[in-house]
Amino acid sequence: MKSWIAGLALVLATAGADLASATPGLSVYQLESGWTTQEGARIQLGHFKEHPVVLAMVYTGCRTACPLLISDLKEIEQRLSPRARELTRFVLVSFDSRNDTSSRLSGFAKEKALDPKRWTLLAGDPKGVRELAAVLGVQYREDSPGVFAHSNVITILDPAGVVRRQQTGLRGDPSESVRAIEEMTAPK
Amino acid sequence: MVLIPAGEYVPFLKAASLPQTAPSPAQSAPSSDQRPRVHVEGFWLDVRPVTNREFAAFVAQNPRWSRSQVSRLFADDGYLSGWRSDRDPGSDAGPEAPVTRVSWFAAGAYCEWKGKSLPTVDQWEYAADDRGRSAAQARKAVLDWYTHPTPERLPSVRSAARNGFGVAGLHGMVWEWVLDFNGAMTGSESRDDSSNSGLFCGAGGASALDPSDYAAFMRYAFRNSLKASYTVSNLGFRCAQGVRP
Repeated sequence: MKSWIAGLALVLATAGADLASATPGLSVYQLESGWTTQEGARIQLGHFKEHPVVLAMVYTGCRTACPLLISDLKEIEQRLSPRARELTRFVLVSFDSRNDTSSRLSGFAKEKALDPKRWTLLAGDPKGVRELAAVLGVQYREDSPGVFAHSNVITILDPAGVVRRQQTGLRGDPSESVRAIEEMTAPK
Repeated sequence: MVLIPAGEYVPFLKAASLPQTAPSPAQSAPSSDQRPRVHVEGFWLDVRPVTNREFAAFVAQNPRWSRSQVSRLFADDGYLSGWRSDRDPGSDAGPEAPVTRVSWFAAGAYCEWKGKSLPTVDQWEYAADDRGRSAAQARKAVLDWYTHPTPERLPSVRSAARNGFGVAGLHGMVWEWVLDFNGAMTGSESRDDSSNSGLFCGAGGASALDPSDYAAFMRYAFRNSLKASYTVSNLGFRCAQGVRP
């Protein structure tokens, strides 16, 4: 009997280990890179844990695509119910590690009227930027100093940091992104 | 490693911004044939692709990069799947054959562990271009390689000949990861919006400088199809290192 229980315990322990290794986390928050916010705080991406996140990669020197991309994020923000809007965090990550200092990000946030309660702008080192873009499938290249060609991708992360939805291109229909966030934030 | 001296090469894909803005001295220099040339600083490059034996040493010291422990964020479920066990490539994989079925993250982590990094696409292409010394042979080697299925057992990295820079196995052995594999803009999202040239690079085919260079086209298209967690049975890597002044 004892050995049977011990055997069962072993089986359960093994099954647990298998389950853990069979479903290794897809959380973006495994990235260990450090980032600086528009307020000069040093954070890791796990800072946004427990909130749905709407994230895009941009840079402040970008005069064409990025303003449209940011207005797409704002449209999602506006379409959310008050409850979901309150819980959601909007994150802009800069491609431009050299020029986008926290003061520049801060000025940009004011210029774009981004509510500091909900919006965070991040600058990181080139390696952190490269890794995040790779994880999110964002393509980019510095064509000349301070000028980046990049794909336009809006990523919705769930509260665990797992990519739940991606909206590519500009001026897309935000309904699906909004619905995904509403589902995540609905009362349990 | 072998030192690759500074120089220039003509990239297969041109940057969309080049015709619109004045070329910056750092990125390109005028040339008689008007094709945009990219300047590459001198750098060190591994002579050969990283082998199974070398990668096994890395995994032994960094168990988080073993098959059983690696996070799915960083490598898909094909990661090191040709190996006999978690830490042991086994005889089938061939200790001196290039390691394959490694993700971009794993390749980058290996290079970092060595105090190096993955080469950039410019570094890799410049080294492979070999100042045009063996262009015809290289092109033929690649096309021959493309037309044959990947063998069950990859050959030893020692079997590859060195080019004029002293680098071996850049063509005809395995595809190789580069640091900025996600830099080429031929994805559907850029194509959709390519009508506005201020927003994006044009589609890949339109911006190819030498459409006859099918071998290079295949290489760029392949890189563009990759995601950072992908592992492929004929995709390996080698490392590079900057030259400190």
